[in-house]
Amino acid sequence: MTLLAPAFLWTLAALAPLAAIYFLKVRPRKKPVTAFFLWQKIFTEKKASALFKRLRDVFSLLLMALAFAAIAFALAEPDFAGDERKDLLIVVDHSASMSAKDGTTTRLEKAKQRARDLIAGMNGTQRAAVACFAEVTRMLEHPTRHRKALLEAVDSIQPTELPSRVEALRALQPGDEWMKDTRVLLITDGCLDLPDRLPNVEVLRITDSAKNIGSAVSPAAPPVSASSSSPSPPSLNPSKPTSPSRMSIPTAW
Amino acid sequence: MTLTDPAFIRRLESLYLLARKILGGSLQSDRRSTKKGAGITFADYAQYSLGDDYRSIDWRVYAKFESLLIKLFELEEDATIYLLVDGSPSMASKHTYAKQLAAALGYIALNTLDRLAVYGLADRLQPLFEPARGRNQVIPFLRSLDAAQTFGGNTDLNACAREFEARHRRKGLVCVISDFLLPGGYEEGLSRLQWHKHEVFCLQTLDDNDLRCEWKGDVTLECVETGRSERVTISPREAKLYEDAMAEWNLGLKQTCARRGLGFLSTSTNVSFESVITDLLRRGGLVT
Repeated sequence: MTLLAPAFLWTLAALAPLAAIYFLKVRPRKKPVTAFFLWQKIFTEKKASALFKRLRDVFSLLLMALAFAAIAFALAEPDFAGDERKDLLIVVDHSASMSAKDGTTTRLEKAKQRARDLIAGMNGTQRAAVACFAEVTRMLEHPTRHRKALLEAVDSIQPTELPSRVEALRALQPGDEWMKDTRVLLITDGCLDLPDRLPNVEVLRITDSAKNIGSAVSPAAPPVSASSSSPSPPSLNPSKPTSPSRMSIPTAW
Repeated sequence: MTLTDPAFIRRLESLYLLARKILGGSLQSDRRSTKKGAGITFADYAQYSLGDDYRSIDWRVYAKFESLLIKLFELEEDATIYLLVDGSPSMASKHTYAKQLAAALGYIALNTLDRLAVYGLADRLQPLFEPARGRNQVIPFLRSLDAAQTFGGNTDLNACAREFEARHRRKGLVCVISDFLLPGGYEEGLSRLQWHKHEVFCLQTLDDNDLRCEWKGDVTLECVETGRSERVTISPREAKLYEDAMAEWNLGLKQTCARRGLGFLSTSTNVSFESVITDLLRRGGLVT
């Protein structure tokens, strides 16, 4: 178990003044009575439970302190689930290949939907960031718990005609303190230039890569005009070797 | 409304008129007494003994039986009414009411030409109105009663009775107006008053706060008289116990009065003082 915001444990220090206030405040209402001797008669029978009475006074304080400690603990955001609940960096591939259609929707749409699902599935203490990636990686939303902002960031991802460049993902790597405990999720169709050179990211494929390749080589699909619509990666990034998957894109159109 | 308010005095006047009607006669020097003495109405014969007034010897009886008998007559005397009004802090909520009752009784007493003395009761006796008689004393009496405040600490009826006894040898009607919530008990004080041949009447005034316990939860009970306090938790069970204890206490007072032959009337501040006095007069409770 780790505490995500251990600074909030300092609020426990407020327990001391709380207890002080309690002892000042706990004095019950004063009730002037005319027949005090009758009351005494009634309560002398209950003297045996004097210990309970003393305990009861402390007990209510304990209960209050416990509630307060629970609040402080909750503010400190305990993380019981360990790795499972790490912060997320959702990187959505929006390279040219993502514009290909699988069925009725484009891969990008699917990827975005997947990203939305991930955001919806976040627990209250998790933070997430959204980035898009093609030739370069662009941060769209910095780490936050604010789902609406995250969803908006996902919505703002537009298809591009740029090639995907795995090297660009490296920009996300170390150096950033936050990144150490962050799971980097790359939502992609798997059509990357150098899939074997991926940095330490988890790849969520929205399509079965085998199928993709299959469709890429499918003779049924014409070697489409898409080749013209899709920008030619080498032309944009001549220094990089062209990914074989890159070539599959047109087939999906 | 003060006790000297004309409207209040009119209410007292109507009570007095009612008293005249109920008790009959003008009441002036017309108070019957069980005591024998000089008067007009023949009461009884008694054996002559040395020192008796020989003018009261019935010579006709002597002529017939050759024994000296004296005629006794009913004593016609003005009664003395002593009002002992509890002025301890426990009466704070009922003090005005108690004073109204005292005012009504005192008003009737002064108008029937009885002697009246009023004392405040607490841990000691406090004279409120020195013994006086006559209708012209009505306003001074009401004024002094009006000015009376609660004082002292715990009501000690016994100590007050002792002090009262030291002040007044003259027998009379002692009307104690109090809540009778006396931690030290009331029996000794009452018996002391009775032992000195006073006619004692107990007029208990309570209010709803005495009879019922409406508040529940954690409270610090504080005695209004001694200032002692105790932290307690009052649940419906304790509230019920208190109400039972209070009912038992009042029943005890009633039974004590019945056993000792003392007059007793219990009233609550909800009841108007006029109806209490009317009830009292109808029962003949204060007629000696």
